[in-house]
Amino acid sequence: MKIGSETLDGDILKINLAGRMDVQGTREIDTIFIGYAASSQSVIVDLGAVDFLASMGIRTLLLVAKAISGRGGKLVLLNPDANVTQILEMAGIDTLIPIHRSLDEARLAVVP
Amino acid sequence: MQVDRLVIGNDVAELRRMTDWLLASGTASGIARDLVFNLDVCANEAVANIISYAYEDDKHHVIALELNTSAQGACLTIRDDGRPFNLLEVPVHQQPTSLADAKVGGLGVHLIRHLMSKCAYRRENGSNVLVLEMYATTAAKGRGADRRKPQTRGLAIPPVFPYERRRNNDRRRNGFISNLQLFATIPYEAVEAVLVDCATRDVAPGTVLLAPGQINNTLHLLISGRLRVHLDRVDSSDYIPIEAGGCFGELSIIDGRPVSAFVVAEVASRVLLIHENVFWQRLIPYPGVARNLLTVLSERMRQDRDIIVDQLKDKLALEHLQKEIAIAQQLQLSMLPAGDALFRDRPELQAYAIMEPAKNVGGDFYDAFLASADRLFVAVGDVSGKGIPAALFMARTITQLRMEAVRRRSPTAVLEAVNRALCEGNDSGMFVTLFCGMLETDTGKFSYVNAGHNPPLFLAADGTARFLKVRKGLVAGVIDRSRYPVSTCHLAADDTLLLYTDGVTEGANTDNELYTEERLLASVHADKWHDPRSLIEAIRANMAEFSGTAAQADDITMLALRFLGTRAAHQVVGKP
Repeated sequence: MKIGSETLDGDILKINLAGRMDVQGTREIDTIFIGYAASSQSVIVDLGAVDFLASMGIRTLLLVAKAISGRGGKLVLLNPDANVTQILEMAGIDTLIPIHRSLDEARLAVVP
Repeated sequence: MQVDRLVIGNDVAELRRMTDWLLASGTASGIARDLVFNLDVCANEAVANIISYAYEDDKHHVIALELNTSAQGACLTIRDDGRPFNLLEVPVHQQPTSLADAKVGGLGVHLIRHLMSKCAYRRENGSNVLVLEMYATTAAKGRGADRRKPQTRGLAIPPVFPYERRRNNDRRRNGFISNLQLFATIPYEAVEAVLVDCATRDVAPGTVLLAPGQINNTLHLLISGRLRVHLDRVDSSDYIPIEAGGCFGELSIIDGRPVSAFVVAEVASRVLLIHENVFWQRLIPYPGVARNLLTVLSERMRQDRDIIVDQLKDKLALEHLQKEIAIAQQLQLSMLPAGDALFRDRPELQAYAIMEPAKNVGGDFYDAFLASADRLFVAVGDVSGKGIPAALFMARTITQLRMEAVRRRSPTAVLEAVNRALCEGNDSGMFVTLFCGMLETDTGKFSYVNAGHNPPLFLAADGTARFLKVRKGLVAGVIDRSRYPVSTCHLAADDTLLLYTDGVTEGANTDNELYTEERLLASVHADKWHDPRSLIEAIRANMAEFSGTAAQADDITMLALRFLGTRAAHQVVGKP
């Protein structure tokens, strides 16, 4: 998996994930992902380029969201594709981590 | 109907290969892409679970997959030879109601049940067989709200019974945290929730992460790479390695005192930083963490102690060696006559000698004395080996030479007797190269013998110089029957002999070139010296110029003897 990040106006951290978020893929990015998340209160995780999501990936998303939320911050997901959305919904994650379809919407959602 | 098969190992690294196979087979068979995606998810979840929970050993196992595809849908059969393990009995995933309560356990099975039309498990011939079926029509069905409702279609949910979590597999599955020594034996989930709050630091090779005196309030966990702990200097050759999974900085967060060692990255490394507050408040309360910490500390203490003991041993060995060398040098030097006071009372003779011991003392020696009123005995030798044994052997050689030179007139008889004496009881296999000669002071006749030693230089009164012709003889102390036939030459007035050891001709410079006999011969040009002392000083200066900063590897010994002539001798003898 690939992971990158950019800082948007309003001190928002946008983390861009790409590739298969399966056991191996999640393992490749989880420490960096955790590292990024440790440094920000407002996080948008762009899943647009993630073409596969397994429970291992969901667990990492959930843990990071939990940690940020525990600090009073917020994490939202941006643009997962139809298949990935289906998995998120099936796991009931969409009710806990908001999914947004546009960047503007996502930015509004994470601003404190 | 199409059937494809694949066998993979019980390693999560094999999951990608399985996916490639699934995508290729699924696409080739023409089933819908969404259906292939769902199959991919379910196969990943099922096999990841099998790898994590079905094996009780750490051995290699195979998992066999079979994919049947048709227009009606797909059926994936997964067989493994693990312990009886029914994936479908994993506790039902509870839909989370809040982030704080959300659990991820059982999610994989939850996904399988909801993505597949039918799931079945059976135990067959010692294998677990899991059959996952997906009908084309169901797969095409909409996603979303209706799917989130619990479904039991095609499968009665079996009673849930507790089973032991297998920690080893858990750890294997869960990447880096499982490698951390501090959290060995602690469930991954417990630790992960804490570590998710911690920052990581990537460092380049050579980066100093901690240095003595620094105030440190962070426990460092090495996620990947390799570090070195240097107790004394940042570049010392003694260090304790920290491998991935190890920790450091724990002492300073325990006692609050400054860091006591250097921690340096040996290769590019990634470190997880746990602030002391997080450590004390959130990690230590977990049962087992404190015990693991004590284990880590104990291991560290033992390692430190071993290193200290080794260093102490080295230091003692070195001190012992230095003492031995000092004793040997003293022994060696005390045996030799003073090189600047030879034959002062003999007007027909001039002599001068030096012996400069190398650092790790060899066994060079020279000797020159009057065996009787008209016989001057001279010898130069080099004992094999170093240290006290070489010095003792040299002492024996000199004692024997002095004894025999007084008793016997011919150098052959002297050397053969000395050789026999040295062979006696020489179990250590030491030997000595030796040149010795007898000068008749009233005639200038010089008779000499050689036991494997360098040929002396003959410097004639007319300014010419040549190496004395010597017979090759076996080194002394090896075979008691060795023969040393005599050679003779004649010293006229003002002729000079230079005896030396190979510390002269084999002195090396920084390019490892040797001084050689040629350079020795070239250095003794007549205008550079006028007596034995100035001769040796000229050679020594030339050698020093040649060797530059190179360390002296061997003892350097030279003895120069000048015969002033029979007339001078008769003058003395003739005096009342």
